[in-house]
Amino acid sequence: MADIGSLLCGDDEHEGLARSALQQLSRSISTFAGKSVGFLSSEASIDAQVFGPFCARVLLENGCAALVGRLDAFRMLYLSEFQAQPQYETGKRAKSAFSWAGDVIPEEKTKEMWSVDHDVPKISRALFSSYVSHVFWEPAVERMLDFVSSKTTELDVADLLSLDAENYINSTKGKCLQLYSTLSKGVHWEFFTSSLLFDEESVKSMIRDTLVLVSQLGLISHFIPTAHASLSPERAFDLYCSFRRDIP
Amino acid sequence: MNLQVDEGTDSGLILAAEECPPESFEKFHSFSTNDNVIIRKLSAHGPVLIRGGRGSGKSALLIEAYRRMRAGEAVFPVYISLRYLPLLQSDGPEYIQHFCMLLSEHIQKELSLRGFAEDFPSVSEEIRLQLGLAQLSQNLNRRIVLLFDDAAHIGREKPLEVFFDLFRTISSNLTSCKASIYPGVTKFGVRFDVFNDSTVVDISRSDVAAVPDFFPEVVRARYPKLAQRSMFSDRLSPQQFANLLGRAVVGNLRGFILACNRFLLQEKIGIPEMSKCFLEMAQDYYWPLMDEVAPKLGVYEPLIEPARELIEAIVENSARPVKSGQRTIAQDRVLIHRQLVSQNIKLFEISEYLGFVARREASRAMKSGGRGPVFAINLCSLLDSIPSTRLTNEMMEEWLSGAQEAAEIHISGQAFSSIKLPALVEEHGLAILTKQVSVLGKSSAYPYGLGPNVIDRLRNAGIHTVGELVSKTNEELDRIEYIGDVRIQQIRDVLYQAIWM
Repeated sequence: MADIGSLLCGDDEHEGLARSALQQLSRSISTFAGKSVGFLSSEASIDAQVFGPFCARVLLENGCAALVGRLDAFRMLYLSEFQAQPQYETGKRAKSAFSWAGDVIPEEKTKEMWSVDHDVPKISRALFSSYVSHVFWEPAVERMLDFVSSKTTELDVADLLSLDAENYINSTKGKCLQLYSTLSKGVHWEFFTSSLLFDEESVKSMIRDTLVLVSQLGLISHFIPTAHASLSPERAFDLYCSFRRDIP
Repeated sequence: MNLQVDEGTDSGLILAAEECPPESFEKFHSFSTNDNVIIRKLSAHGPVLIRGGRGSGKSALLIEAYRRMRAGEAVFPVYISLRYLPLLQSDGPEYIQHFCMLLSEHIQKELSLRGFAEDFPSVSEEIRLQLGLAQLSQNLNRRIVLLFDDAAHIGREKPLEVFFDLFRTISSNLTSCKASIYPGVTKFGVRFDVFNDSTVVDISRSDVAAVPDFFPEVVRARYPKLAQRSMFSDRLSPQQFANLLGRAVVGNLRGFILACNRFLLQEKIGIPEMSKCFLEMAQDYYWPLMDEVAPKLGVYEPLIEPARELIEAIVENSARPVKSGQRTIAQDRVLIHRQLVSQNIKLFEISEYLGFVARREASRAMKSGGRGPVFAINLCSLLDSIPSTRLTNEMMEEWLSGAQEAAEIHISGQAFSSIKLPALVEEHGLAILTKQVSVLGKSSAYPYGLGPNVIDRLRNAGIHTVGELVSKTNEELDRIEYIGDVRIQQIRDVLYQAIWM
């Protein structure tokens, strides 16, 4: 299977703490993406129903964590350092730990983006915040579109070319929220009614949506000039195409 | 979809999937790999909006999802067309009441049809509908999927906000709502967040180079005769025929089927026959479509003329280099500066809806600076505007390859300078309902319209407007002298075409 780990985590040519953190995430992403693609490509099975949502959720979380790390190296390095400290205990919740709500999904209350009254801590650096969207994702989507439209490939890239830079993060955030919530229901087994159990169509649909979503985010991240460990656009697009060919 | 090609009776409604007899549906419909992904999404947990222009195949996807779910045991699916006049004429609490009644009746009908012992109450309030759905899911031990077809009418936006509110309210872990909408649907109301409360799936088939097997597959399923090599000249293969027709109608399935119908009586098909088909489609299908749709556009009716000017300007922009000898082949795609698109957004939505253009790319950098979306242009209109009006082998190959550079219309150019947007009035309902019944007479817009004799008889019976006619029951119409079952069906068919999208 194509190297989806590198598509999300970038190259591993840079020495240092960031490299080992991203290498670890890359291995995890590749493992869970491989399992997810396997479930998607196979006939319905109990394994797919039980483990499919779990694998897809890990992929979604790890993929987003890798992107947070590459876009905000300080956050990644802080977490790496902190987890090596004696104060970090695995059995105890750390308030500064990586979290879905906060690091990925912003807690934005104000609609007004630009104001002299905004304090720095309130300017969200979450992966899908309006600020990160404005400074990183929107221009990156446009660069990606120009690059992809200049390429010829046998892969149907209509879904990529239809991405709207302005709405990309709003739309991706909405999809992530829905996927995370639904996949979690498959993980937590919180259902007390059997009519809610995920059937093959639901599991496969969720897995596919997750694979497509993280691969698109991974591709676009390499068009952010300040992102850490970015691949060349050609290499990123090759990886993306190889990966998408494996997704039925 | 009426499978007969008898022009006297098909009333122009031969193309709607929802009209296809259920026993023939499978035989006459084929689905691509991408379609199967959409169908799976329509069957899975979660709210989905499926978006595409007129005749893009939305209904077929909803019906196929319904058919597949019916064959399984995990889901109780209900397919419901919202082509119901009271919904079009109401808003607010009245709309909610009609909607709840209509949905509960359909659920009960589906339960009876499937032989389930459970009953569904006839309800007129959303809270009772919600409770009823939750109860039903528990009793059946299945989750419920509601497939709403024709949820959006391009000419009536106000009730749409109520619809999306209902869509959100009744969506739950036990009930998944799916609905088909048009590209021009932008008013979702204050409670419905399109990004968080649904997943939007766009249907686009205009790029035949990227998906080269879809249209040939449709031809093999629907028109086996047109898939035979012996039907074609040496310079035209069945694959090229299907893909060129698909590309010509910018991937619109309704346009595609209409185009295929024109070849059924041919003995041999070559490039000149394709050329003739394109030109005829431009003249007797696409331009008359404007007249047919105008009175259905409601508050946007005054935009139909500017939309016509917009299309003419786009086509002229692509044909001009051929006229001046700068190019031998007209560019079949156009990159338009985004500011021009946003200034004329409704005109683009109407043009897309009618199948004159199809959005191919969301945004691309222009050579002359700035950015904008790329649209594929309808090849029927394009060929009609080229001086030779003759399709050549070179054109066919270039247009099929998709490799041609897109034309550009820049903000500083004059291409759209003559287009004036009229001021729009408050939404007041559909103009078609207040028009005289004579508009339903035979015309280029209604090729299977009513004869003058029928129109006179309706008038003599005191039926003067389309709104009055549509409110009459079959029994009331039957009482009019010389109007029997066949004429009543014809009246219903023409009304259907005149009112619905």
